[in-house]
Amino acid sequence: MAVSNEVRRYYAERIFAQMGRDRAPANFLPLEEPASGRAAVEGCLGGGKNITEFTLVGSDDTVRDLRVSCGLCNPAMYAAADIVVDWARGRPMDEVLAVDPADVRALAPFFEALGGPAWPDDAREKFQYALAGVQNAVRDHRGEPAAPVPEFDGPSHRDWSDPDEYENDL
Amino acid sequence: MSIASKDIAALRAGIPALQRLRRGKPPIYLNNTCMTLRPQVVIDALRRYYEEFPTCGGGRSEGAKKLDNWFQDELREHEESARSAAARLIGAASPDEVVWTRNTSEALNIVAHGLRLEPGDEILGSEREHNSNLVPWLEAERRLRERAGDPELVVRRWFELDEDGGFDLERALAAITPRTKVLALGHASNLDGTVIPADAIRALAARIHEVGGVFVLDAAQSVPHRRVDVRELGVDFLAFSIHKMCGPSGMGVLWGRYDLLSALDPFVVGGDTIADTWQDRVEYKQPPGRFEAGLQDYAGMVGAGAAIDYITDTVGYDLIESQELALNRHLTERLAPLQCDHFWLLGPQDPARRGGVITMTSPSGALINAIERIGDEEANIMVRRGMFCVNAYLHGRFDKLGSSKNNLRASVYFYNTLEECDAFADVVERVVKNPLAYFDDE
Repeated sequence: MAVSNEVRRYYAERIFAQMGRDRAPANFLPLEEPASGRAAVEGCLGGGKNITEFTLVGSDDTVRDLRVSCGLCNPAMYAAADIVVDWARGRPMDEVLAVDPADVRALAPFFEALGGPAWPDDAREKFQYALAGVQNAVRDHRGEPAAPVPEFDGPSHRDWSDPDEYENDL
Repeated sequence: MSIASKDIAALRAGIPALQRLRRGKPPIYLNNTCMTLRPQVVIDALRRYYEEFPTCGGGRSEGAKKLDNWFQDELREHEESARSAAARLIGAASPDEVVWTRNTSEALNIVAHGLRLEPGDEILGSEREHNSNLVPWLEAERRLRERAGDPELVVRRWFELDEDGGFDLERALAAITPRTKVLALGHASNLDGTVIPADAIRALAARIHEVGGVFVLDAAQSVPHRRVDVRELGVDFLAFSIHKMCGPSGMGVLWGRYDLLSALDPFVVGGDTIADTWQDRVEYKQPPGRFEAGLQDYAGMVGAGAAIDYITDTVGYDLIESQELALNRHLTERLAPLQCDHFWLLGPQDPARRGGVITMTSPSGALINAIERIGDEEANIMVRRGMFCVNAYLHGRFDKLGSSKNNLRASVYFYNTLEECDAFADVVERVVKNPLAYFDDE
């Protein structure tokens, strides 16, 4: 499917433009200290392998630092991983775990960070995978087993900023 | 049309997969480092086993030239012929030094499990070993740590390569110490095609033997592409895969110097590995039988013999090497000028140092995805993307730049053509020159 305008813009400006032989977007650089939790997730729908690995440093039950590495990701996965990492960093772990990745309304902060005006469905699916991955990194930090990652619906052309979409879907 | 291109056309005509069409176009198969296509002669050999003598071989039994019945005798004749062909291919002293395996990985596992190492012994590799020549040694390390009761015991060490991935003999020689009991190196890299020169291998063999160690050569990416002579090189064990040289899937070879093979503990044991058993003990066969447990892939053995004959007699290494160099030179001429901040080639820039392999990398997985997707959809181009089982090397070199996982490899074999290389280079050029235009997934 075509990449949404919102994802295209975010990826071009915030990801691709920051990449090069000797540089990478900050969230895609390795941690500067040993990881205390890690998890990988494969958001394989919508082109690309989208193998993302999240590494986390936790302290006092807070996500002190968090990074992601992306293997053969498509633009939506890059954008979603970047946004979810920004959101989770510095946040209490319980708060990170409290968000249900399957609840599209709970993803509102991520859509807002994408920059609008639409809340495109190609980002929705990747937000869900990225959030599930970060949550499993938190669980790993706590010594808990990873939760199974659901197979979220594949991306479509829906716009979740329209409330009718929720009514039709939920 | 040159003589060489006439030859290539004839060889292509004998490979059924190349005659297929999708959307009116033939395949462009540039994933030969992983697995090669099969000629009709190899397919016929496989079929012949199933049609004419589809029985069990009864295992490798020392000295038994005559088995029980018609089919077994015919199978034995073909199996022995294939084993002899494999021995001749690599200059082995005897077919008894050739063990059939499923692949290079299994062959290397047989050695890593069979050597009697002691805590304090060390295993040396380079920073760029294929997982098949890394993980078995890491497992050996784990076992020795358990035996020593020391979870920090360092068993496997590694030395760095040149900045461009080339082999540095002096660095390798300096890394061998009196504690080094195994030197396990990849002969040719599946990542960038670089090869350890024969002189360097001989020098390393001399040094490792001086300290009482053995030299294990992972030849998965060399035997299919160039002449390899184990006795001339002076190595002790060598492993390669038949499916990377036009042979059947799941067939490989372990070669070992006979005295060293005889000293290896068997890895997978059971039926056909034994001379005799009692309730409380077992007496194993001599090599190679002791390493070929259970009923085997007899069709694969017959097909392996046909593949080896095809490579050596029908195609020939001279043609393989000259064609690969011509194709890689052409690809490099097309792709090297495209290098930029978002796209570059891995390994040496000189194609003569890269065999038939050209690997591209980008910090952007989306760019790599786009090349593969457009190539597949528009021109039936088959390449490979990912980390190619050299994760440790790529992590070590490129994680700090966030670009270790986004690689694309095109690998040619004798049956590829300049036109195919151009079709691939055209796709790469389109995407790299305008990467943001090719995000869409369909």
